[in-house]
Amino acid sequence: MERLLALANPARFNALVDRLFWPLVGATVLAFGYGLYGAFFTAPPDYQQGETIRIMYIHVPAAWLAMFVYAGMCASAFGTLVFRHPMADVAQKAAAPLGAGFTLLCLVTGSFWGRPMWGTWWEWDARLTSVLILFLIYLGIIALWRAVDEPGRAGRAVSILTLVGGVNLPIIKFSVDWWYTLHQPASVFRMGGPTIHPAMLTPLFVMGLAFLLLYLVLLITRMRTELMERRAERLTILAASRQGG
Amino acid sequence: MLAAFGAHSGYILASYAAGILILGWMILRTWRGHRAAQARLARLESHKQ
Amino acid sequence: MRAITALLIREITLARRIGAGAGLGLMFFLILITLVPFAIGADQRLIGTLAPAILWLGALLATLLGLDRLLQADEDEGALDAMLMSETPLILLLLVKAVAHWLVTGLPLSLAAPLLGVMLALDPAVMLPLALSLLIGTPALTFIGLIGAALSVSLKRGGLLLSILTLPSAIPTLIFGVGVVKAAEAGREIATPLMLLAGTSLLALAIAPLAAAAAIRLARE
Repeated sequence: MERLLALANPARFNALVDRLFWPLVGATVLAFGYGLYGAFFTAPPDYQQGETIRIMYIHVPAAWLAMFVYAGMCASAFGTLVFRHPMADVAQKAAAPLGAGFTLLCLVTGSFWGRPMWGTWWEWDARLTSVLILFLIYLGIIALWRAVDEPGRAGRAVSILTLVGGVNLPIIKFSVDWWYTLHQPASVFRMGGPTIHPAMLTPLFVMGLAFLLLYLVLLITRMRTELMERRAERLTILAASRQGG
Repeated sequence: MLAAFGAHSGYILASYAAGILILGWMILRTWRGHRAAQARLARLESHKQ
Repeated sequence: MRAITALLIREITLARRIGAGAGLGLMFFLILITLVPFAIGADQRLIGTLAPAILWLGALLATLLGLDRLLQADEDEGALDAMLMSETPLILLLLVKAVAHWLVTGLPLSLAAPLLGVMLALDPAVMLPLALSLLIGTPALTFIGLIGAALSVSLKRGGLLLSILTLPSAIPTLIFGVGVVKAAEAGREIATPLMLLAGTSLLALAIAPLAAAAAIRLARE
């Protein structure tokens, strides 16, 4: 907890980013390298789906990140509203477009996977619809960030929207369950343990890690950018007031 | 090599191409935004002096 | 209690005077219903099949129309600041505003829907379930819209943003609402989907005033 509070100081945060950046980038490249190698060469083709299963190694990690990023935004929203942590809204603003990107990738790769497997580019089943709605909620959050000028006020407004949207997500998943489900039921994070072959599970987790590391690299970069932009804004206002006064 | 991936190789290719495009765009946007902010800040701070 | 009743009456009167109420919403509803058969074509059977969906979508859009006026007028007049400083809790005031909005928008729409359904070749057997679903579901739409309205008040292009913010959250209501009609069409009992719909409305009623009050307060800091 103290660590988090310490990071509230932008200078400290920047110092931390400087230390972490290149190691993270290196780790990301390694993870992608190892994961992709595993996805294409080590992992066996699927008994039913053949080679098309390879799409899983990009579709599933994208889905994991789409939801993980939103959960992170919800946690940051708490940070902004309840704890008034100064960096929380910076984190949220940085995360939103990244989460939207992962969600879009999940939808697109899912469509490419669905076409050969189910014969259709799209279906209005529980999972697909929920993810599409998650994408729309991301877009709404990005729109709200852009609509409010003052960063503090924007952060608070977006936090409320994020949390309301978060309540919405289980309801949507829950409500659409009464429709027929074309999408595969859970095969990794389930009660009895994963049902996927271990040789496939490892590349999948490595790719998941790779996506996570990429997200972290992009997140801290975007947070840095946001801090710089805010400082630039303040300097601009200072300069203008000095000239005018 | 594509043939080795069977009949649906086009979809596999398209998926990974989408990955490269979308993740690549995210990386590019992030990087460009960072550079632009850096440049702007540097300009403003030099004017201050 | 008297203060709340007074506020309720005032809100309803204002809404009707501004014309954001029953008149405008119903007119939009009617125009939409008229447009759709032209878009679908002269296929009576198809129109009849789609009628519940068209009516639900129409109710959703008509509700959305009146929502940005819900708080914008108060904000423009400074009445919002007065509300913040009054003795009555802001949450309660917002609740009353939303109820007034529904009485003037959602309620007339729900009552008018079966009549308009005739124009859309709606199966008479499902008219009552449809009206019930709208009656129970439109409050959810109003309350969900309240959150969007509070978030986008005094923003440029607030109306458009309001729609973007509200529509994803309105989807479960739409799903459940049409679900009631589908159940009726299939001959199944409608109590369960109606309960789900009622649950959605109650949840929205519980959360929305809180979230909206928070949004308005925090926007002022």
